[in-house]
Amino acid sequence: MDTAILLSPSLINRPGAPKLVKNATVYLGDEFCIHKQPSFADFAAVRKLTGKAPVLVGTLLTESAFESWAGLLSECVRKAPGAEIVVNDLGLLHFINKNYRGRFRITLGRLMTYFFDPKERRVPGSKTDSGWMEGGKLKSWEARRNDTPIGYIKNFLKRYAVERVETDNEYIFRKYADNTDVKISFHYPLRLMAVTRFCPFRGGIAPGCKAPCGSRLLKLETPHMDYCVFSKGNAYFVKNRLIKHPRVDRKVVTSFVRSPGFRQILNKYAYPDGPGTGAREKG
Amino acid sequence: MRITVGIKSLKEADYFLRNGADEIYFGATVPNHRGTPSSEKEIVDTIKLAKRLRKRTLLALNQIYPREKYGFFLNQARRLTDSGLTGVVVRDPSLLEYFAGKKFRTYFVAGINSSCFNSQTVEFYRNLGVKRFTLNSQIMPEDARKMFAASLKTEIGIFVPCLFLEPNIVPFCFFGYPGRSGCPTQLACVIDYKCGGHDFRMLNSNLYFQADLLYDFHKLGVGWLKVSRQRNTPKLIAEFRIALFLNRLLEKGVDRKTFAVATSELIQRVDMNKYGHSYTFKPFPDK
Repeated sequence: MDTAILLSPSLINRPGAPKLVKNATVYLGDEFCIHKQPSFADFAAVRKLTGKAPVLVGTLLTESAFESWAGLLSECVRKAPGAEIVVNDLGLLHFINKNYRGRFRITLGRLMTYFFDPKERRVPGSKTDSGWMEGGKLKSWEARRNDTPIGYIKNFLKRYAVERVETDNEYIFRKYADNTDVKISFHYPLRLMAVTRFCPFRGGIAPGCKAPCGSRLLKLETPHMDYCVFSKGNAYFVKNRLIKHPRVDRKVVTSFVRSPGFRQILNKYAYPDGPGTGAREKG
Repeated sequence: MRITVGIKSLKEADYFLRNGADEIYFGATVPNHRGTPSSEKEIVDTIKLAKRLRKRTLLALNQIYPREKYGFFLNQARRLTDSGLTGVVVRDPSLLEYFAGKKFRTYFVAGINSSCFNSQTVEFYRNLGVKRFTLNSQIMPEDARKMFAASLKTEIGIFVPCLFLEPNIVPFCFFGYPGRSGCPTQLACVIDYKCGGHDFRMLNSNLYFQADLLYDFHKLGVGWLKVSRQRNTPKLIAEFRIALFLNRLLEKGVDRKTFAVATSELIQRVDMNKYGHSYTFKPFPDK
């Protein structure tokens, strides 16, 4: 099984980088933060460091972040045709298909596979997430709500020439493994729980950022939950187990450094205990 | 800006349409997580009422549904459109393609779950017939300005930021509703966490920031202000009144600072928490 390591562009030149990515495929970029998207210079630096082309990883892109990606693609198509791209934005996929179909290898990232199947909400093994269920007992069709029909997904994969899909979720893995012949990557050891632009490391929505989060991982505990939540960059996670199955041919590992006792940063955009708490209730 | 409100009954439709709403939206007559009118007849009566008052109506089909329900939704949407329904709120490209394949065309509105963060995603949905886009609450006015720069006439809607600004991006928040024994049920984004010895909370924004967002979106020319569906009717009414008041302030042309101060004072004075959770069922007040 191939092993891939997620590497933020800001960490390429750190002393530990060569050891971290040794023998692994480098996933260059970030699945969740627009400020950690790769440039072609980053791509070239990783290629020099490891001797092979990294996989480019994108996130949900604002218009400015999308413009940077458009620039990256136009450079890559000339200097690194056939590069693999993990797409986590429907617009980026649409753009690549329109302008560069067949020029890159397309992988649907875990935000995209969750976009089609956001139904699986329970944390494996947890008993705390059933505190409230609207509408009482679900009818059989309701239990399958938020589950895009596989027929549409199969057409979608073909239409956008998707070679690989990614997930960190066993339900989604089974759906693709049982119904398609697409390659499958599995993310581990962190399973996604939420993405935000309100970054705890910057204290809000930052117009620009030099990635002070690095590869820090914060362990969050609360008596409300029987599991730990982890904060990394601008996303929240729980622990995940690797699936061992012949269809998983790549594991994608999130590297991290534990940062116990991190003091949360609050800037003018963040005011958790003040006015505005009423707006949080709908989450 | 025009105001659109999510309703659950003809009675609510009557109240909101006669008190300043320009549009109402409601779910199809199947069990729905925010409550729906009880029958198709009630929806038809609601549409007729809106038409009499020269207001608009939307059917909300903004979730992902299993394939065998598509025919039901198509038939209901067709019947309601024949009765005068203005359009349909959607999020699922699969359902939109199904509608296109069955030659059902109407005024489609992309819901917040569509994850439209850039002009290319807008184009993707526009190719499927979408005419209006509801912005995710974590899209900033500057992002929206660039996003729609090439299509200035696109209709855009937003939720009222000081009433509905999610700490996490939908549909990518998979926390349930934690309620461990002995602890009240809470959303994960409002729980107090400990990180080592320090307090930690999922960040939100303050009221001045939220007021500035609303002000800037208004300046940008956003056309629709959305008050979300909820089971708690007194809270829905309170949110509608706030939306109406803030919209009037903006239409009067108050300056940015005055608007921010007024918004902050209003929301603190009203104290929305006294109405309880949005998902707690509370009927229409009789008085």
